Amino acid sequence: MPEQQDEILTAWQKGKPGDQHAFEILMALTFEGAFGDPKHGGNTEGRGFAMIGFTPGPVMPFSPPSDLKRDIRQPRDVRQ
Amino acid sequence: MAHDPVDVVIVGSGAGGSPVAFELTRAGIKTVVLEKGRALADSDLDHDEIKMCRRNFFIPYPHQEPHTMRFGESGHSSRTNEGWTSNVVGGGTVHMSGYFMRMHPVDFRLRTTLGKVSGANISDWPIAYNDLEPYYARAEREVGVSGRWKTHPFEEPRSSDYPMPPLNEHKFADEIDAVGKKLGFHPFPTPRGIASRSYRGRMACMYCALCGSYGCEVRAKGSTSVSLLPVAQATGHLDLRPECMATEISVDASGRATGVVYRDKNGITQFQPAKVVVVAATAIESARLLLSSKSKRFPNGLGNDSGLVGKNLVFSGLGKAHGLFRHRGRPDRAWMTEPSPFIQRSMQDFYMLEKPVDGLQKVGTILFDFYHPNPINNAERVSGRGEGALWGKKLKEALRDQAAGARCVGFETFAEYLPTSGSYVDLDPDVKDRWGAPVARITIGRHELDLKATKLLTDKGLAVLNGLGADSTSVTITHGETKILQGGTCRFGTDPGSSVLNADCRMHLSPNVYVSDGSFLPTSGGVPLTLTILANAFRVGERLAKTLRKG
Repeated sequence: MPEQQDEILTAWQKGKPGDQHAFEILMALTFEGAFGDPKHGGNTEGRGFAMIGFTPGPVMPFSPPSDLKRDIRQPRDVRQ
Repeated sequence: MAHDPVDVVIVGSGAGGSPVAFELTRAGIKTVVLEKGRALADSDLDHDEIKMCRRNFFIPYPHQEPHTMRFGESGHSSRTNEGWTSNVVGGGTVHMSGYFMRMHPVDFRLRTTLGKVSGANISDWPIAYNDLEPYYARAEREVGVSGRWKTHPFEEPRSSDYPMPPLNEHKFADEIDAVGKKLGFHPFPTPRGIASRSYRGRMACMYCALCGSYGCEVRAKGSTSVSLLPVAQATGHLDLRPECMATEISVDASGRATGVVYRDKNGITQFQPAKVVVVAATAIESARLLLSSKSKRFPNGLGNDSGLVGKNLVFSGLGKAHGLFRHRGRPDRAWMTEPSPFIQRSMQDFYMLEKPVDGLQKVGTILFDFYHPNPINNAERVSGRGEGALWGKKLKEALRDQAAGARCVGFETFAEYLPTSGSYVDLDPDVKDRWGAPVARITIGRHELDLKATKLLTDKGLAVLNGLGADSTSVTITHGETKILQGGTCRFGTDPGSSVLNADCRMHLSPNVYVSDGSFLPTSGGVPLTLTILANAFRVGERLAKTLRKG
């Protein structure tokens, strides 16, 4: 039952050092499941990423800075 | 198994080893590089936080290859993975953030400038800033640094501009500039070892902002594995051997090195004879290798008659804080929602105080940017720790609220970390690694001024965050040290009685052994150490190449 779960978790969180350590591990593993790469089996369809506002790929800035505009308008061979 | 002799064998392929390999191979000198870690493909470098930041992708597990660490000689010593930089081809430059600042002229003559500081073993460098300046410029060109010069009055003297303009910055940068002006500070664009435009065949940064603790799959970050080693390999004179861990440097009766004993990826012990041995395995691991290389001539470890190998370990003094800026329901803060991921502002107003304050004069750098975007780490930040940590529904609400309605801006401080007799590396008398070799034991004895330096920088950083209108601020590290930024352990100098290496970073006591990583540093400066290690390694490599070609 959710209420019982809350009770147990609260008891661990505020309990003896050993209980607190168990609580910390549980939290860490929960975070890894919820916000880790979906390939590990949690964070279905990246919903955890959405909740926390994380973009797993590149983030395009609004506008290129003036210094970079020339490069973007005239793509160069990257091997040069 | 023994190999044919080569001219030079280098231990380590990171910031200390790669520039030496680069200089030697381009001069036509046959060079072997032994790298403990494996060679990574770009496709290995994904954005998986669990794999890259929370498991042993870059650094070993403490139950297999630990360091041990204790605070003070009487402190409890425990296993840790602290003090390792990434065990891959390219070393720590693969997972670095790439904050590429130069040290200042004062860092080279700190003893003369500060006079005697009680409890600290400060020493002037045997070279001056001007001696290293051309190599700073070369390192910036070869690795590719983006930045802008002539932006603040505390800038070190430079012979040339950065090879690339700074990375794109968020509007927060303008705000920090404005607040800085009001407070009398001088923020400037943080120089980064990251390409802001396509550079020498490498792509420009794509702004994922996962620099620190990650590798860069588009090669915008100037890791030595993508900037220097491919050039060295193209000469045909480089034999790079990944997954080969040096275990001992062999010496003859006179103390000259004859070659390096190493364990290859199949666990087989091999011997590589060489005319010259260059050690560049990080300050901590280089000390371990030298101390482990015991011989009849050097019963206390190679070149360690003075007992100074491993001593005077320094890091970069670290403080960390962040501020939360709520923009939900604040039309005046709509600009904060701009997605640009870098702020790129640093300040060096307190690099060197005009007059000592409470005994403190040499301080360091404050570096502002958005809090690292790592999702798990951010969830932990929002949750908090201990008995007050949020979880369940309250946590979900807080996470959603922050994701949609706030930005988190933080700063790190890089302060002078004074060398003391209490901070050193030795071989752990009890703990062995998975192959039975004694591990490096790190003993930390901070100088009281380090704490003051970090506190001063943190207070100034908080003044800026508050000036920006932070809704709340939180200091997370008050007196730490960045253990991936290591120096000392084999300081260079002119006197064999007080230093391990000479001005060329050659061992005083063994004429064909060089140490080219951060070990040479007598003092840590007030900036991240990586660019200085690279620059010095270019200097060591160039001088060694000249010596070998003559001889």
